[in-house]
Amino acid sequence: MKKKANIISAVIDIGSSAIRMLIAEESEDPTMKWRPIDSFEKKVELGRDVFHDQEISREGMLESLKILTDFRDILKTWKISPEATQVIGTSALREAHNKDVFIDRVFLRTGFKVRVIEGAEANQLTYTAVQAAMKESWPRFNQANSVIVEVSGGSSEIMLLHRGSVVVSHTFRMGTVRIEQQLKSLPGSVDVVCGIIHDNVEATLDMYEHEYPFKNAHFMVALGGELRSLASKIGERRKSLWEITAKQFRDFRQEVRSSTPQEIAAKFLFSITDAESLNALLTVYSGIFERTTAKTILIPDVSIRDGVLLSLGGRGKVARRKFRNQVIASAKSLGKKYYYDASHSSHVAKMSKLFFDKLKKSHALEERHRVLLEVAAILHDVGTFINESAHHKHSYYIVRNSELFGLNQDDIDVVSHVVRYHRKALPVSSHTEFHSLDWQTRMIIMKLAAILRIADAIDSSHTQRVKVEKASLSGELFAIQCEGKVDLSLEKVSLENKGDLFEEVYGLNISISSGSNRF
Amino acid sequence: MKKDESSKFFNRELSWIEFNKRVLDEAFRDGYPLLERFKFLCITSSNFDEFFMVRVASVKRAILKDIEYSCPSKISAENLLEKIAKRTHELVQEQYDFLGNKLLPSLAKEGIKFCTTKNLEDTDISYIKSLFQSEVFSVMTPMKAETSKSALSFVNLQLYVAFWLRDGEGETHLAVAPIPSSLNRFYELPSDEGVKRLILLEDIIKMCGNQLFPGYEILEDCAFRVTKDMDLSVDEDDDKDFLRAMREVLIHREKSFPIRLEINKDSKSIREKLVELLEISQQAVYDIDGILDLKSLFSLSFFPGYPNLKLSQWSPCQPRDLMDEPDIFKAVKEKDILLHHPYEKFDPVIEMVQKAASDPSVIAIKMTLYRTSGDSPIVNALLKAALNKKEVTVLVELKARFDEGQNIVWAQKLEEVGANVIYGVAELKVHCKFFMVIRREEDKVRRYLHLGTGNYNEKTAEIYGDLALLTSRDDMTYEACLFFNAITGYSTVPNLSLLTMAPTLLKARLLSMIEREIDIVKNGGTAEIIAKSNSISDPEIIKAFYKASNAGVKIKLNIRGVCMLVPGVKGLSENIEVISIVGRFLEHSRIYYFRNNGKEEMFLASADLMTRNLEKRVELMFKVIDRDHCERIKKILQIYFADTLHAHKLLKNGLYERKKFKVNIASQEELYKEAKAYAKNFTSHKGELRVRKKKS
Repeated sequence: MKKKANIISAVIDIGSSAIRMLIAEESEDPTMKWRPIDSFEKKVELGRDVFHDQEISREGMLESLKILTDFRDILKTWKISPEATQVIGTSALREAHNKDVFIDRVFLRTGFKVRVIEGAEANQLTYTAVQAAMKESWPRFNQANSVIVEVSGGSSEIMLLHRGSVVVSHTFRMGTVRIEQQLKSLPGSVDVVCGIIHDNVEATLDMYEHEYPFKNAHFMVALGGELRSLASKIGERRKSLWEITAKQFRDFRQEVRSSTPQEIAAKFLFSITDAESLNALLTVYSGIFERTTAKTILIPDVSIRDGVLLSLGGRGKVARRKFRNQVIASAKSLGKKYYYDASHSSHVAKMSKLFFDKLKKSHALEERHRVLLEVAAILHDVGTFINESAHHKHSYYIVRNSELFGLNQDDIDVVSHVVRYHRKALPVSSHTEFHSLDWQTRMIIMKLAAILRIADAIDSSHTQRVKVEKASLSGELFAIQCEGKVDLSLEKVSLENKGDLFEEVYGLNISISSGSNRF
Repeated sequence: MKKDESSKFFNRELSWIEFNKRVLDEAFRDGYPLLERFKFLCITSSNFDEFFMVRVASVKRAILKDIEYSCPSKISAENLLEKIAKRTHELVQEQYDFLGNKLLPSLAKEGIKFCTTKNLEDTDISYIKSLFQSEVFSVMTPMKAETSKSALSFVNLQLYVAFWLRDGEGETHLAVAPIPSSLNRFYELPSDEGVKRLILLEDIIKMCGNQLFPGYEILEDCAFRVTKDMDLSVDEDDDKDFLRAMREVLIHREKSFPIRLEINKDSKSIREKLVELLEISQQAVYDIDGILDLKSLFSLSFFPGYPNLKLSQWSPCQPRDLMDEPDIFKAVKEKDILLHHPYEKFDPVIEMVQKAASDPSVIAIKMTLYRTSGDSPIVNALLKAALNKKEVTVLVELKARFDEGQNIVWAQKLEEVGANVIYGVAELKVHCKFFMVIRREEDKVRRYLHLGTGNYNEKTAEIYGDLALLTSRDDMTYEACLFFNAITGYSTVPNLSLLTMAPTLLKARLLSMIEREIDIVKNGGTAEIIAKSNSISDPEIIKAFYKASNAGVKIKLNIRGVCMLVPGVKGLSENIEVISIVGRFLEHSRIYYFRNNGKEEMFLASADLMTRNLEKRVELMFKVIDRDHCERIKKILQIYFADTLHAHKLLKNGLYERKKFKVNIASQEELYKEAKAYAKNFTSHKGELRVRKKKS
């Protein structure tokens, strides 16, 4: 029997210093790895435009179109259509004021649909790629505490992992292109600029320390073209990754500090521009490395593009379960940052999930939405950190402006609004943020918020004294039955207040009863 | 190492002349068949031609334009030019003494006889006159050459007959007639069976000269040719139309300055006049007592018959790695294949391109072409592949010296049928040998890669000693993909580990591996370096070898041509041994071996250890991963050092001496015998089918 040929996919990544393309083939083996077939990288300094003028220049636009047209032609060989190609834009495009024009022109000229990736999603894609790479060459990694760092053109991504799960994930606006610009715009010596960068990095890292201590991290995984090229010069190859020991790293850093960029460029065969920004770049990596207890820096040959491929559909349940665990871990970590009531949150989350499952026929939502509901349940009260009064609005603000690992912008829209409507007023026409969303999203939010409201009502005492034994749907009635004999009068009042949305959205009445007697 | 820097290096040009001396010595080898010895005389001449128009030209240009000739041996350009002339005059003298006094008389005894205008019979003369009328006269274009301008437009290396004429008023004139290159260089005169009587075209023209200049009296005549500066470079900034820029270079070459005048000793007047018109110094004039331009007589050594005057043919064998599985794709899919040409056939490589051209599962073909043959089967297969809608990307090096014109023609042909043709890389010559086929197979996409030390030229593959690796290994072929994207402008230069690319990292990598051997030996480990290369001239690499030698690393170098490294000097290079192999095949493979304290590493490369290769060219060095292949190549390296017939040892004074032993070991013969022994059991599919059955 002739087998069907493997799927071949392509990812294009429009970054701040280059446009890159990876063509890969779905591999036979079930470890979810894609096998790279070919890879391309063409320099185009979009970041230089955007980080300076907030706009992609005409030249940058033309050059990008030229590169993308070339890439499209290469893809023809592989019979990959522009629609089937994953095209993402990272920090430079994200920040460009004229990104819509850019995206439109790219589409008209090449047929590629560019998707702008937010920081948190970028982190998730990077993590997915790293995880798959490490699985192969460093299996212990997936149970270890570690830090993943990527300094790219426009931003730096940093993730702290506790026992293999991401607990802290941030993107900060510090990248090689920005560093280069600072070096050019600031008169004075490189040392001064490095000093500024150093202070900046340290202050940022101090903030992250509160969320998870760096010293717990025993491994450091670093990504980024510059570091990889450095590793190939001073490090050693171990299976499919490069390794730089602490000594190699420190010696090299010392050498960079005490030499001129010209000397470094000649000795290590860097371009002069790369050599010039090397000192600043090392300041960032070193700031992180020295806080950890890692003995080496591991540099796998992966990038965000591998992450995009791995996140493409049809990769089995394992990936999804992993995704849920990751998202939940990072939600809890955010909750901790705002001193959330962990028992209340997880109690509400548990009930929410139960209700979600029982209402499957009524809401017809997907597994992914269940995860979003769980995240909203965990975070619904974080706003009390600012003030108890109107805390749903504070929660909304916090969720909107935090980085929740693994969630993209659409997901954040959903979670923040579910949190927003977990109490008090329902959406009205003056809620412009809500109404700027499309109606499908608005319905999802309403359906999830309705569930969260009743779950929150049941633990309105924040004592978890009421435990739901089962919930069932019969006819027009959604019946919730609690464990044991408890007084449910408070919960009933609360339900009356907060069940309004539920009744409206699902068209169901709610009843609540305890173990033996019905009140 | 307190020695004066300059004494640590041989001069490159003088070292090259010693190489050509070794080639010439092959002609003097007693007991060697006559036509074979004649062949070496031709090669010596052909080598000198290229040497003058490129290397001597660059020295001369340094003097004319007053730019510094940089050589670590610190010799001045003037001094060097004198030394070059002195040594070349000596060698040319030896060469023509041998030709006139020994070789031609011996050939005549064997029945191959060159006739001159003086020893012809009347029947010959009338035969020659009718031959001239029917074949030669119509393609002759005689012209006056009375100004420097006309003399400077003499075509490089073109053979001319010059005539010293007197007109009716008693005035003398110089006229020249180029010897048409469309005609044979020599003609056979009618003769008895078993004897060949040959006459040179220039002699025919001389005899019939009066027909070319009616109304003039011919006072004197003689043949000559001029060598000109051909080392011109193209305007690299002309990215818009590089093809046009290249064509311009080819035209400009015609106007460059003269480097050498070779002239027969027949006419004083003509000699004087030419020297005056060309404004050439006496040291650059070579008075030849014999046949000029021996290169164009090369075909003589391929005369049919005369088995006693030729070496026995060594026809290439079936490659030992393709013994069990003659289907090239299947074989490479299973394991890496090492090919050793010309002992083993080059056909599998051609077959691979041809099969790929019509194989429906082939998606793309990627290739670099540096020098290839005129009607190349490889180019034809690429044309076919492009017609079959395969994605064909070919990087054509237009700057491959002296092949430019030819390369432009077929590059355009490829472009016309839809192949993606890339005309090289600005500022760099793409010298690596790279060929890749990408197939979409049932289980996955598989890449088949050929990397070699020699060009994709089936003709030279029969006379150049080269190694090549065929592999479908995922890691190496992926790196190869990235490399090719970089050199074809689709990507920036990547980080590679199994492949090392020049000009970015190759030199640094070689230096660091030499440094690693030094560290090993210092820590009491076992260190050794064996390298085989056409030339070694990079001062940094040479200094690194000196440093390693002083640390106690044993270094064996097998360098066919230029060697600027001074071996065997106490306190500098006592641990370095240099040999050079000159034999029937041109040694062309580049092999770099590092002992690495037992964790041996073996590399093959397209690059020599010359600054030019390491810094001005795109080259590839690739690691040999298969252990059996490493052992096989190690054995090859050792065979050369055991050679007692064709190996020459470089002495510390820059001269070479043949090794003298009682036992005769000829490395190339040993290698051929071995290839043949392996191929003995191979039966081709033409006669019978080898059916595979389950073993009972």
